[in-house]
Amino acid sequence: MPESDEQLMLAYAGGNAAAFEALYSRHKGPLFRFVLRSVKGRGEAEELYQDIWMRVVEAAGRYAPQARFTTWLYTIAHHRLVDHWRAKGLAVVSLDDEETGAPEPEAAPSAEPHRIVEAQQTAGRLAAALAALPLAQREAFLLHYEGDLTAAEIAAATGTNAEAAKSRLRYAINKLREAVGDD
Amino acid sequence: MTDHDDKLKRAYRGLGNEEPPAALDAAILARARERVVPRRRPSWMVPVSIAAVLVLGIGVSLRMKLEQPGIETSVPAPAAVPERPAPATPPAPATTAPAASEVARDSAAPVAAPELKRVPQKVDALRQKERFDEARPQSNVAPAQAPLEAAQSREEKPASADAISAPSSKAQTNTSVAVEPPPAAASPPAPAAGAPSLRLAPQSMQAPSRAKREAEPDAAPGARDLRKSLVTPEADPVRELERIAQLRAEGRHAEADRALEEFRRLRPDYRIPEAVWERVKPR
Repeated sequence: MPESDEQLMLAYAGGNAAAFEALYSRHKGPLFRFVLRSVKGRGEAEELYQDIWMRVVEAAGRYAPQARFTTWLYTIAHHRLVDHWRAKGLAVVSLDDEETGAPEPEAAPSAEPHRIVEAQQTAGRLAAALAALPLAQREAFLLHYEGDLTAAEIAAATGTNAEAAKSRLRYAINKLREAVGDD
Repeated sequence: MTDHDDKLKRAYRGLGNEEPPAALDAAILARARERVVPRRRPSWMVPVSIAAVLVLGIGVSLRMKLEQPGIETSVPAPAAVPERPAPATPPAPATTAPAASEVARDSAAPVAAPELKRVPQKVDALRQKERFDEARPQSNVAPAQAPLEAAQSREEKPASADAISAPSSKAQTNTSVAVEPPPAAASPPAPAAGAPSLRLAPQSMQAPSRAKREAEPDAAPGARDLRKSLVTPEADPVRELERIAQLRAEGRHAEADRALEEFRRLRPDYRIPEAVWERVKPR
C-alpha cells in the first residue's frame, strides 16, 4: 500500500533515505514547473528548485505533519520565491499589481497537422497570459494547477487569507480563459 | 469541475510537462542521502556505551571504598584561609568579588562552626535585601552594585563598627549587621584573613538574587556559554531577526548574510514580515 506524503516525510526524518526518493519522485515535476513558470530563466528556476529541496532536507528533522505535506512543501517554495523576488526588487505587497514582461516567443510551429499547430498556438497564448499575470495571481494559479492546492491551502502557503487567495485564483483563471478563447 | 476548467486544464497541459534535469535530480537525492547518513548509529555503539558506564561505575565505587579511611581522617582545609586576600590589600575587581567570596565561604565553613547557627538570621536579612532590591526602580543598576557592595563591605568592615551604619541604604545596613561574624568565630591561625571572607559569605549566599545571577557568568564562563546556548536566538525567530537587523545596522553585512542564510536554513517556512525584511535583507 503506498504511503502518504506525510508518512514518507516522517520516515525520511527518521533516517529512511528511500522514503525521500519516493517523495521526491512524486513532487519533482509539479514543483519544478511551479518554479519554472514563476521565474523567467530556466537557470534561475533550477537553482531555486534545488534550493527548495535543500530546505526541505534541512527542515526534515523539524517536520511535523500539521497540514498536508504538499502545503508545507509549497510554503517553503513560496518563501524561497518571495526571497528571490525581493532580491530582485519586487515588493511583495504590490504583487497583485505587478505586471511582468512579455514571455519568450514560442518556437515556430513546424509543418505538422493543423490541430497540433492550433494547440501550440493556444499554448503560446496561455503561456503569454500566464507570464503576464501579476505575481500573486500567477502563483495562486500555479499552486492550484501544479501543486493541487485548494484556496485555503494556497492561503496557508502564501500567508494570506482565504478570501484573498480565492480572489487571486479567480482573477487568474478568468484572464487565462480569455487568453485561450474560452469566455 | 466545469467544462471551462477542463478546457483551461487541457490548454495548460499543452504548455508541456517539463521535468528537472537528471543531473539535478541526482544532486538533490545525493544531498538528501548525505543528510541521513549521520543519523545512523553503528550497532556496536550501544553495548560499548553500556560497558563503559559499567566499568566507570565499578571503578569509582571501588575507589571510594578504598579511599574512605583517608577521607575520614582528612582535616578540613584551613590552609585555604591564608590564601584569601587580607583586608589591607586593595579590593579585587567588583565582577570577581562574588566568586571569590563563594570560594571563601566554602573553605571557611568547617572552620567557623558558630557561623552555622547564624544562617537563619542571615537568610532573613538576605530576603529583606532581596525584597528591597526587587523594589528598587533602577533595575539595571542593581546587578552592578551588588558586587560593588561586596567590595565596599570588605573594605569597611575592619575599619570600625561605625562603618556598619555608614552605607546609605537600609538593605546594606541589614546585610552588614547580619553578616558580621562573632569575634570568636574566626579561627586563631588566620583571624584577619578569615574575617573579611566570612563577612562576604552572605553576599554569595544570595543565590536567587540578581547580583548573584549577574556575577555568576563571570565566575563560570562555561555555565554562561551553556545558558547562552539554551536561550540561543534560534528559539525565537523574532529575536534572531532583530539580531540580524542589528548586524546590518552595524554594517556587519557578511555576518548578517550568514545569519540570514542560517535562519532560512533552519526556518524555511517562516514568513518574514515586510518591515523586518527591509532591515535584514542582503545589501
